[in-house]
Amino acid sequence: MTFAVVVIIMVALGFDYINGFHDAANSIATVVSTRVLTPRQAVAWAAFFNFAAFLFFGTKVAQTISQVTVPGTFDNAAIFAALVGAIGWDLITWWLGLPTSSSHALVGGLAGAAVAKVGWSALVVSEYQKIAVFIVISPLMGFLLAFTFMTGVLWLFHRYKKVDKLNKGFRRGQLVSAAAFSLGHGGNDAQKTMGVILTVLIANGILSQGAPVPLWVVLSAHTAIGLGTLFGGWRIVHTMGSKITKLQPVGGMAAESAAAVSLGLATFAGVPVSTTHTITGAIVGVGTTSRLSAVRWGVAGRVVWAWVLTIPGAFLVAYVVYLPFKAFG
Amino acid sequence: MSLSRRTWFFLVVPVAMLFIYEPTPAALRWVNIALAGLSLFWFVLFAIEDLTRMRRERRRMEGKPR
Repeated sequence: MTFAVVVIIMVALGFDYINGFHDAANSIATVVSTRVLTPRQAVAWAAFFNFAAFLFFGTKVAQTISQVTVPGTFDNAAIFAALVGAIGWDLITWWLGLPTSSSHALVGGLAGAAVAKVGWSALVVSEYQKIAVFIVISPLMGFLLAFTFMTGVLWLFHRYKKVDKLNKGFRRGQLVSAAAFSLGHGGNDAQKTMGVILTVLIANGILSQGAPVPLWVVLSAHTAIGLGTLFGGWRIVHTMGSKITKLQPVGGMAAESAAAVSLGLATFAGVPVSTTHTITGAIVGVGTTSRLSAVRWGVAGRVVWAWVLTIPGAFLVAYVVYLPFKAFG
Repeated sequence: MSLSRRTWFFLVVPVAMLFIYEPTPAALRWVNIALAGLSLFWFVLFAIEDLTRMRRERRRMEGKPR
């Protein structure tokens, strides 16, 4: 393994760390805003389940990420440019407090670097099509499932008089749903970094095309995302947990359960989806059970604009970063 | 006669699922169908609720018993 490969793997793990840092808010926003856990307890809880996710999910998402460009497209410089594009975009949106998708930043970054190096023919259209379709499906799935769970719970317990006891039960339930969501987050997002590391190893001839993901890659990716979550970003917690709609423990539980089911399904299907999109859709779904006006559509609209700009934004950064490598051979 | 915004919102989801049905990988199209079905279910329930409420209000304004 050359020095360049080691450096790129470190940068990829850095991206994974930032992913955890950036998306920690998604895992813990509802559990913190409903005061079930303190922020410190919540990040430790989420980080543990981010790491433990490797025991539950395969590596189909990692394989998808390593196949978004035609074999032989990437060299070390292009992968480096892709990662810089994704990390750069993540940091810009983190600074602005926008809950955008690290996953789509990575996909945009990979596309930008591949197009800068080879041209549009480098992209595998069917893989990008799958990812694009799930940009629409994942928030809608989170929305519909959360709405259905929330309505079901309200319907089941509407005659129950002991509200304090009920709330206590929902608070406990939220611990389970937050853990399930963190498993889904770790399972889907850590695999994206595994996909990048797999691409590096294949590009350098260390692994052959179609090889399985080595265990050390799996463990290091889950460790990086877990650590990132542990030192998570607080700017986005506020937007996710309270600005979109006000949540009670029952709502937090419904939103996290819906997002966990959506993420689990996508991960088993091998589709890299955005945990941010999914949980935002789910929070909006819970808000909609009272009325549409309970959702602050202005904030939700700002979030949607950040989503729309993520792939082109990361694409552009990666494209520009790769140009000097191309110019100087 | 007009349905609420929330009710119409649940009709938008099946339309979106139909729109992206073709580009969805064949193995995952059941997700589009399941989500469209779930959303249509809520649309029908909310439409019935809206229509019943409107009828009740009209009868109250006309001074008829509910």
